[in-house]
Amino acid sequence: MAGPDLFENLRLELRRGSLVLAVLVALRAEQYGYTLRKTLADHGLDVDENTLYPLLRRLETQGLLVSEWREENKRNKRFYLLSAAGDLILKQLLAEWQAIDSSLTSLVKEEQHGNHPTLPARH
Amino acid sequence: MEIIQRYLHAIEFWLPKSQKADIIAEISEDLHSQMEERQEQLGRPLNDAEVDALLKQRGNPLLVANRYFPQQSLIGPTLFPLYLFVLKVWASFWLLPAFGLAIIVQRTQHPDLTWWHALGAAGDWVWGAAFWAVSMITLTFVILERANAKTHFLENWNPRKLPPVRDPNKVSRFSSATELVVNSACLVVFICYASSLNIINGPALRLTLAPVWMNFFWGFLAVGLLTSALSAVNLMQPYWTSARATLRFLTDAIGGALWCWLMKANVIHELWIAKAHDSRGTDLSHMINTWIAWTFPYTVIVIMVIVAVDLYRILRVNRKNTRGLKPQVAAA
Repeated sequence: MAGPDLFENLRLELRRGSLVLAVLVALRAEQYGYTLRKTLADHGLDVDENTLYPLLRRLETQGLLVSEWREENKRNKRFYLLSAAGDLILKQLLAEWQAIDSSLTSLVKEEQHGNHPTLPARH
Repeated sequence: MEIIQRYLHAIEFWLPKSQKADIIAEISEDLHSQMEERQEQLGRPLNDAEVDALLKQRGNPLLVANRYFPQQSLIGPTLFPLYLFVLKVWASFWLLPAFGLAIIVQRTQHPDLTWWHALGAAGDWVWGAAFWAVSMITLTFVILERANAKTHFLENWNPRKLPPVRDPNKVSRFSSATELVVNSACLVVFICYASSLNIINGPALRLTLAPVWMNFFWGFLAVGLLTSALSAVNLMQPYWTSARATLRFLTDAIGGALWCWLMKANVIHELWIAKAHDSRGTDLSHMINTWIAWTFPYTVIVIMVIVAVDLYRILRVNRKNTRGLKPQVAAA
């Protein structure tokens, strides 16, 4: 039976793919980890630090982000920015996300109008 | 703050060497930013309990460090179900029978042992082999996992090479014919040579069975005839029905019971060898009877397996009849 744990698992699974997209979008402007997390949280995407920092490192290894250590307010901070390759991938991912969004919207609308095929009754 | 340093040091211990300094600097910066923000909200420095809470919220150092490693597994999600399947098959067809056999061997060889002691001794006996087998299976799958990661061999497959769908309730005509021929030949030999108590009656050797043998003779003859008749029907109509599956169960169960009785019946009455002293023949017949009785537990195991297979067949046929399923390959 579907319970809160199942919902939570499915919710996390759904968000996991979107998180990469959100990070790439947010890093079109340079930010360091802490401000990036706040930006995402302000837009309703609360991300655990232990998820965000390893993700940033992975995206940088994949060449989608560039980073540099710089001093700000007397403290060294690592600033991240979308790379040229990252920008290209982001455009493709956004197109894909919009296609998924449009397909889902169309499916949901069809469901709401009762325009869906029904399964034959089981005997 | 010392506690922050201790926390960072604990994380650092588990991190990949090449990135230690970089990751720690970033986590440290993030923790300090978080603390600063909290202090601004409160308008005072954080106390020890609040710092502890912040670190607890961040997580166990080992878990925090683990997130920086790529996902690693000896056997990945693709091969894991297959690995479990192989282990289950191995446990069902090797481990459980071997364990059962080991218990019976222990009890037979050491009749003074209690069942619990026999169980323990059997566990000791099977443990080493089981550990070795599980290790080998695991190692094989680890190698397969690595090979699949490099060559993607699981993606190279041909739908035409998939095994055909087999209907378990269909009886192979070849096996029915073989069963019929072998059974008939055995029955002829059985009737010719085992219908009297003097099984061997030569100038050099005489073997006489105990009178109880005639019960076995008629019993085995009846079972043999029924089995042959069943094979003949299966040859004509090669599909298990509930009645035929039940008849096979009954013949096997009765045959098995007869065998078990035979093991304990001291069926060799007299063995006479021309060139040996009479007492030698008596000793030998006693030895053969004892040896036959000694194989009793193994016979029971074999019969139990056969009867279990027969019972499973009855269940399978009845289940299919209840569901009213027909083979759907042709329709598909």
